[in-house]
Amino acid sequence: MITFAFGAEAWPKSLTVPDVERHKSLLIQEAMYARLTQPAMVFRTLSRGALYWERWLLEKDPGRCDEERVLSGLELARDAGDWKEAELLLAHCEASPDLGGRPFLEAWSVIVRDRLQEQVDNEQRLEIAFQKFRGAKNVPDEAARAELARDVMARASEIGQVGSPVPVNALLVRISAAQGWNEEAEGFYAALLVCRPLWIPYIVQLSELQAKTDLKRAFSTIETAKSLLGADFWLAT
Amino acid sequence: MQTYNLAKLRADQPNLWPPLVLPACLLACEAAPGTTSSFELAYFAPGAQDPKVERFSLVHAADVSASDVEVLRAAGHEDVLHVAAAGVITAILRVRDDLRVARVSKRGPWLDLHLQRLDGRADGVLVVFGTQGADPDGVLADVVKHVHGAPGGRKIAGAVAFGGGKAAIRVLS
Repeated sequence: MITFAFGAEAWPKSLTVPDVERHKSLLIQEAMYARLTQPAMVFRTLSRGALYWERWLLEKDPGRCDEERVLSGLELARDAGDWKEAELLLAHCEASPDLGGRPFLEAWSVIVRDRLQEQVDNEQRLEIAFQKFRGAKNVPDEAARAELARDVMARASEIGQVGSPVPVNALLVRISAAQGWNEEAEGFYAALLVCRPLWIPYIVQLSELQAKTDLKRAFSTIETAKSLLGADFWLAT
Repeated sequence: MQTYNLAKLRADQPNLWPPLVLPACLLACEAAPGTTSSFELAYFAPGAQDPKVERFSLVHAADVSASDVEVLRAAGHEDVLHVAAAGVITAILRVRDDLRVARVSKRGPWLDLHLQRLDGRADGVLVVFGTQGADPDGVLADVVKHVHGAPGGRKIAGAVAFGGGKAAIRVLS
């Protein structure tokens, strides 16, 4: 099983509605624990994971608790700092005959409109920081390159205090993997898998990274993924 | 007086997360692992003006990690009280009415706990706040306002006054 931070698990036991409900419920409570006791990035990552599964339930178990799931998803999007996801939830409501026109939609539309630009700006700042790192790939001095990597990662982590954990962790994993900081990279992959648990390239990249130092753990990741997603899950890439 | 052992929380209510709830209960009750805290519950049935008063004992888990308690001790006190109150009220509802938490969702800064009977039938949404003091009445009024906005049918508000050993549940519909 892929675990993150204080043992929070990235995946439910199975992709059935009861197991996903249980997993989402735990992630919401783990996010609450993280808000009280951990760095903001951990809280945002767990909230983003719970949001993923709230949307999964809306899609796979339609017509049941839809308003509850949308409201919960919007709150989790706020906690995660992921306003693009909030926008998708609002679009889902507008297209739904049952949810369209509900009073909460107008209030949330205003909030999302006000905050979305901030997320776009943060992502641009992350991209600029990453380009700076890439531009230094021919720097022969390894120590100078490592220092620049740390500097860019520190800036990304600052954005991670206020913004969506997905682009932040994606940047952190690219830099740490490029630098060969495998243990850190593995932690960032675990965070990404909490945020986007069924994104197969992350699973494959994580197992490849693990294989460099510990084949057993790499196999364990693949086997767990197989039990959740099916024997040939990587063919979906 | 009915007694409930909080260590059973995981088996009875697998959607509650005991690693957070159990140390929060210890902290809020200022109790040691394995000891007992008593609560006097004021239970307001739907439409009732006056409550039925019942007594409950909750036995704290014996194996709560000291480090979990210490981590929570440094956290926001009000939030810890709310989490502990969720543990207390859901434990009382488990022993009193065979209700357990089926799932958890987020609404506002707080959690909505969706209850079901042991036969799997859905049985409403519960919102719970905790406070430090002698009397849960004021907090219950706040919870009632919050739970009114929840989607779904049957709504239940709960409040716990830690220190005073008093709990209140109001069933709204």
